[in-house]
Amino acid sequence: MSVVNFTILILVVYLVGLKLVSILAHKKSEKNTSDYFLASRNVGLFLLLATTVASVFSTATVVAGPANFYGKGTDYLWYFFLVMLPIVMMPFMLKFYRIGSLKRFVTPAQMLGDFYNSKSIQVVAAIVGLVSLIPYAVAQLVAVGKTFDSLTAGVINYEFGVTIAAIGIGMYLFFGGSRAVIWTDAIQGVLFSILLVISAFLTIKWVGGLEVFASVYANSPKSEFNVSFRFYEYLISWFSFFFLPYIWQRAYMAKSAKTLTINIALFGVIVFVLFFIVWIIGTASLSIFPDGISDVDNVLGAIFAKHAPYFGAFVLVAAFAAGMSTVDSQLLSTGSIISKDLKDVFFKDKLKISEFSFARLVTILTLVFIYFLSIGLKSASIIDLVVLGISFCIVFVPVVSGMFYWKRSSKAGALISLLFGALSFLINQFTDIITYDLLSSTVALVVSVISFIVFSLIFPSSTKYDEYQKILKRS
Amino acid sequence: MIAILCFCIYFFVIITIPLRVIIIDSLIFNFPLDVLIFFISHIFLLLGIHLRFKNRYLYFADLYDKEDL
Repeated sequence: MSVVNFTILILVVYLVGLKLVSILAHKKSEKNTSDYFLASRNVGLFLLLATTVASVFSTATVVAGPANFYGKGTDYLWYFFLVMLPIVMMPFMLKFYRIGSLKRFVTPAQMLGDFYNSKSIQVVAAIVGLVSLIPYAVAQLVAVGKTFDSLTAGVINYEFGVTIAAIGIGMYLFFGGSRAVIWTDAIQGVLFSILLVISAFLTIKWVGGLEVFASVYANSPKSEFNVSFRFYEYLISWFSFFFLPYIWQRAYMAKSAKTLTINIALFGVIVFVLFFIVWIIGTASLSIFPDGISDVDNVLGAIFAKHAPYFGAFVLVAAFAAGMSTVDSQLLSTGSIISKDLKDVFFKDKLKISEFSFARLVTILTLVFIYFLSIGLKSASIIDLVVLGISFCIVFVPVVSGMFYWKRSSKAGALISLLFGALSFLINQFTDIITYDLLSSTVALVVSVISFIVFSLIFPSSTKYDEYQKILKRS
Repeated sequence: MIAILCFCIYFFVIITIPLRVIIIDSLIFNFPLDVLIFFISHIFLLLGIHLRFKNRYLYFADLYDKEDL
């Protein structure tokens, strides 16, 4: 059997397996939006940890991670800043869980709208959440398409690869909702973690052992720490990660507060181990391809195409699993935002279908939208799309912090902070008006924090600060 | 307190990377020193997270779970 046929066979087996899991999930599902989006808020430790890790570890890690450590070297160690996320994640996520469970929130914007007593804030926060999710989700399909193309030598080209991934996700998303997402995430997370570990051992072996690995790396210019201000900017921009709606919603899904807290503590350890493995694969590539390759995003596929073409089929499955397990959660989150935060604004009571059917329809329509964007963005850099998505959420930092830590936070401050922050981000990202060479997230953070403080002081208003503190047992 | 100390060590290492690049321009163990220090600092980070979880957030988690929502 040829390598390409073997790869296709493994993928078909894998997709059939996922379909079976989604059928089981469908049997367990209830037809309401709380179950469809949050698995009835009853997810235990193993599944919560697996879905959190699988959702965080996207193709940006499995495909773009080795590519960037290979192409850009030590400067990309900022990836590891994600390991420190539990420091801030624990206090915030625990609060999200407590208030979200009590008030039965489904989306992050519902909490913000409730705290600031403002429908406008809920709508603006929902739009910010949507804008951040879309480029991130597109990046997943782009990466899956590129890996398909690379590992099957173009037999399954980019467009066909993206189509297969979109259909595969659509199949289990439509029927099983969040339960199918969590179950398949658990399988996919375990699968790509094991495959990554095996891949790291194999690449070290192909390089010629640890000593050769260390020697080649030490003598490569890519081992030098050329730290610039950008390195520190990434340190700050990672803090926006858990404000991404689909990560925030993991707090609503947890079975108990203890489950959630243990999940976050373990998350740090797993992230470190997996990133370390990705770093090894990328760094080992320096000696496998000393002269470089045409598209660095294809480095993982190229390693296996060269040394173990049949095992490459499993690596494709790993990339596929990482991409699918992230994009499905993002799609579900997008569907929940549209049906819970924006539906009333745009449709009021004009729709004749149930909330549940609307939620499912919107989720699938979002998938179609992201599919077409991915087809059009074939040449886009995966990591650029991911960073764009994550860093846009930085505008939530002052508004969310204000909910828990600043009594004088106000509706006007929150609304203007979100609008000014988002606007400054987009201006810096897509125009040349701001001439300083800063990340858009840095600009947006500074603008949103200043406007939040200034406008909260100028235009005070009543919020639910005392009520939230009481719920959190802090007063 | 130990958790905070661990976080301080981690952030000190991260923030002073350019300083060390200037001062120590040599390799040990045939491996870039900065990269080694960078990875080792994560032990302090993970230890800090563990202690913070155990001493503070587990208390709130138990408190929240005891109350029927």
